[in-house]
Amino acid sequence: MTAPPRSPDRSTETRSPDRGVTCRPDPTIRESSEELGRGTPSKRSLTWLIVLGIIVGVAAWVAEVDPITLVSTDARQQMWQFVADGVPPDFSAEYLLGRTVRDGLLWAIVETIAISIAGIVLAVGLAIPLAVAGASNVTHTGPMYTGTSGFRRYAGHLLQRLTRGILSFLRAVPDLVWGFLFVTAVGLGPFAGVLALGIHNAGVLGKIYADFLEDTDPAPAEAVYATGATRLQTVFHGIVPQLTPTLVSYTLYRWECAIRAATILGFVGAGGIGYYLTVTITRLQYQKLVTAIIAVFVLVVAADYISARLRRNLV
Amino acid sequence: MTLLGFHDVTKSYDGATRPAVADVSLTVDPGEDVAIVGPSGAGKTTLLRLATGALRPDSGRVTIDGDPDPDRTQTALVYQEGALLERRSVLSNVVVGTLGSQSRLRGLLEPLYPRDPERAIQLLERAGIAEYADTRVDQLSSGERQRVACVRALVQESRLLLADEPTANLDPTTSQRILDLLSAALDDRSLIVVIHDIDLALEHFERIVGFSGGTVRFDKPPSRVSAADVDRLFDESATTAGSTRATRAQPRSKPGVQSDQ
Repeated sequence: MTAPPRSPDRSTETRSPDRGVTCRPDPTIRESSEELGRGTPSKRSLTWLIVLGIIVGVAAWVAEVDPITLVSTDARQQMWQFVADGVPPDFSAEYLLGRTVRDGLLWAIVETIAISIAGIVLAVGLAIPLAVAGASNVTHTGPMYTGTSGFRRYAGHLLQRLTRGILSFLRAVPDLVWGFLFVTAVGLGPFAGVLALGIHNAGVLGKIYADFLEDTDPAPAEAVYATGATRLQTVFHGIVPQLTPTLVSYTLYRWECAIRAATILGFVGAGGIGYYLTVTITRLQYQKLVTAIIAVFVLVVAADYISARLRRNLV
Repeated sequence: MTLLGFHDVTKSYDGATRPAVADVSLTVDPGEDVAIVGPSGAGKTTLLRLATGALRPDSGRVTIDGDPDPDRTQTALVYQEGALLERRSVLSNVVVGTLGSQSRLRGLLEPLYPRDPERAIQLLERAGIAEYADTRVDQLSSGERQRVACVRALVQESRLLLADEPTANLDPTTSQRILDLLSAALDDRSLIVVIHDIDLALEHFERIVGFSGGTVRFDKPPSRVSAADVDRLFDESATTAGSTRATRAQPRSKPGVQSDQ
């Protein structure tokens, strides 16, 4: 349990008369890099360029990338056919509003927005406790654990690793898969979508929040703990206040992602506009499909705009 | 009765070639005010953090009132550069000092909604920064910040008040003001200040401890500290520590120090 020595006193450094300010190239630097056989910078970047080229080539081969197929007459005809079938898009009141409003396309848009908002709120609610339990400076390292018994710190470490594992799992499973799972649990509809987005994003946000907590300066936390504050008080008043609006900004960015994700959750029956995308594709109703795609486009652009505005006001 | 006791205390950091504090024995009585002087990298900050319990010694014992595992509320430390919460108000930062005397639950709210900030406000007034009570700390000058850090420690009302370079990078008037603020709290309480400016130390404190290379080089009243003592303090550090940090600290001012006769 050792903290690094504190920074040297600046007063002496700045006032010291014998410090030269001229910058001469340090001959030892080149020597050491040559000794290590790394070569000159241009040689090194050439090596990296070759390595990168190989990686891209292998990836293209595995992914069966074949640009010729894309520009072949057949492909062009198919795409043209799709566009021709989709024009003009279906803006009929029957399609947009449905018979009872709740079965129209516009309602599906509202539902998509609602799923994304509720999903992110759920995600934040889950992410906060998980982040606190997943940050090592809260559970077992840093100023709050000086002189703490080895067993207590081991238990804290275990809790932290376990929480980090849970967070990894939550975000490793794609939201679409979570959606599929929750549809079987709570039935078709937007609630399954809310749960899916909430759980997946809890994993994403929880990791980010925990990383931010761990990145805070230990000095204020030490100062707060040293006053006799409890660990929980130290977390609240020594660590958390150091978090910056960047965190809120990132959460808003995740909401943007959530709106994009919410547009396809309907593929597995978890509500939102995705239902219209998948139904119109399978029924070959291209005019309706194009309308839905336009709606998704407007939705995503609007979300980007709103989120950017909010973030600008924050930072 | 000794208030603070260091008994053969040694503390090393991982990867360091020599201990930051090597076999130090030192006692401070209630009501004493002590200045610790010495070059950068001498281990002075380590000494203070050992006293607060933020660091544990590798060997030896640190005691407060004879207790080797004292309550954290017994010591208050003014951190170098403040260690303040930048995005919180001055008052909120200061009230943090009272957390040790709050209940667990109340302490969670106190810095945000102080129930009885009277004492904190009083001390802020005495420090001349009461007008900034609601200002965010990151909007203050370095002198004002140092005063906030001092008030946070003072509000703790602990018996041992420690301060780590509270006057670093400050002009003489502000330095004076900060030292006055800290020593005004003395009665049966003790004050230990790590300080760079030897003149300021000699002027303000009744006991001067010269510290370098992790050990106590001298420990005497200011009237008996000679220029040679100070010279040796910085020279020894240059030879024993051999670190660039220590050598840079060497050409420090020594005017005002009594001549050696």
